[in-house]
Amino acid sequence: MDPERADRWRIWMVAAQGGDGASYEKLLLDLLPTLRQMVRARLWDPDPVEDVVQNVLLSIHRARHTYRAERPLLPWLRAVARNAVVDHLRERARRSARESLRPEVEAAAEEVELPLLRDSLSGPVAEALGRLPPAQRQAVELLQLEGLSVVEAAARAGVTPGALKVRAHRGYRALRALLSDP
Amino acid sequence: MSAETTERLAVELARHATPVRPIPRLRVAGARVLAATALAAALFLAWKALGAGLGDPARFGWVFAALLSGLGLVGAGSTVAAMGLSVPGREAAARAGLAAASLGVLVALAGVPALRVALAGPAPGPGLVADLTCLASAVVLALLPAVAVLGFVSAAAPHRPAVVAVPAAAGAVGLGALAVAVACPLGGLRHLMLGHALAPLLGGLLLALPLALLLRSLRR
Repeated sequence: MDPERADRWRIWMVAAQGGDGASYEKLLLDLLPTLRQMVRARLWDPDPVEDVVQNVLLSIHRARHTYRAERPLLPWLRAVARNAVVDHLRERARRSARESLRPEVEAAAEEVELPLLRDSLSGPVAEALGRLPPAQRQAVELLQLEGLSVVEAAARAGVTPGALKVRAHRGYRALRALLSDP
Repeated sequence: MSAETTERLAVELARHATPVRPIPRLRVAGARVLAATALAAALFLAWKALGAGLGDPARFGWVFAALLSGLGLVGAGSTVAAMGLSVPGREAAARAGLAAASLGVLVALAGVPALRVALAGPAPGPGLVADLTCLASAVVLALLPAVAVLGFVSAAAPHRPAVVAVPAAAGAVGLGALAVAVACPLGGLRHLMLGHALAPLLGGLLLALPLALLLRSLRR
């Protein structure tokens, strides 16, 4: 690593901690090639690299207060990237275990939920959506109505992608219960 | 997902760059934990001195010192491990802490049989109630240092909060068990094992769940 570049990152990070958005933007954009490299080195499948890099960006944003200016930034960054990769691998393992257990149920849920929300947001659906707790309603709206990805929706809601998925899942379940009530 | 979306996310995050206060250094956080431990220990020792009287720390020589050193190593090592695991890039500190804590368990346990030999007199050891009283005292004394550790960990960014709660609990109980071992006048192999040497493990297991739940609720 070029020491000048490392020093520049450190200075931008300290400025970002002070609320300097311009330095923060420069830092995050300048970090992207390095982050992609770090993530690619830990994943054998290139498909989810951008997804994981976005998770790393969110983790950097959430954990930026844990960086201390007297320490080098790169080890901090590597640890954040490694944690995001570990989270991704765990999530993928969990998902594949779930999918192999209940493929029909998952498929049926997808078929029912997506058209239901996208195409008929009126009458009872709108009313049921309005009765959800605000966090669950926001998660459902961001994913199903605005069509954002989980990572984008999580960034908008200010929570982790995992937390957003949980909220959305609870929201779907609550909606299903509300709509099946006579 | 495209690289363009990633760049958009970076710009979007930068637009929300509110000022943040960096967490304190590990050594500052460690000093706070030590201060909390010292306060709890001072209150406990004063209470014991006014009541039943203190055990004489010098009475068992180097083997007693081994027990105290072991507990100190477990307490300090586990605490450092919990704090190191909560800050990205401080994994080396966490590993060193875990190594010190493991060494501490060995030292504390190794001292106990020798300590039993060093104890004079054929009197049987104290009952189970006394063992559990010392264990419970260590857990109670652990509450103040646990709050100090929790304050740091919840303000940092632990990757797995539930995992961090285990060394945090073991460390706090290890520190609490130090003061209890100094004050306790009792001997007996089972008492020394159950009430003192194993206190960080047993008490740590007890305290880990509430700490994990508390940590989870603090981080929401």
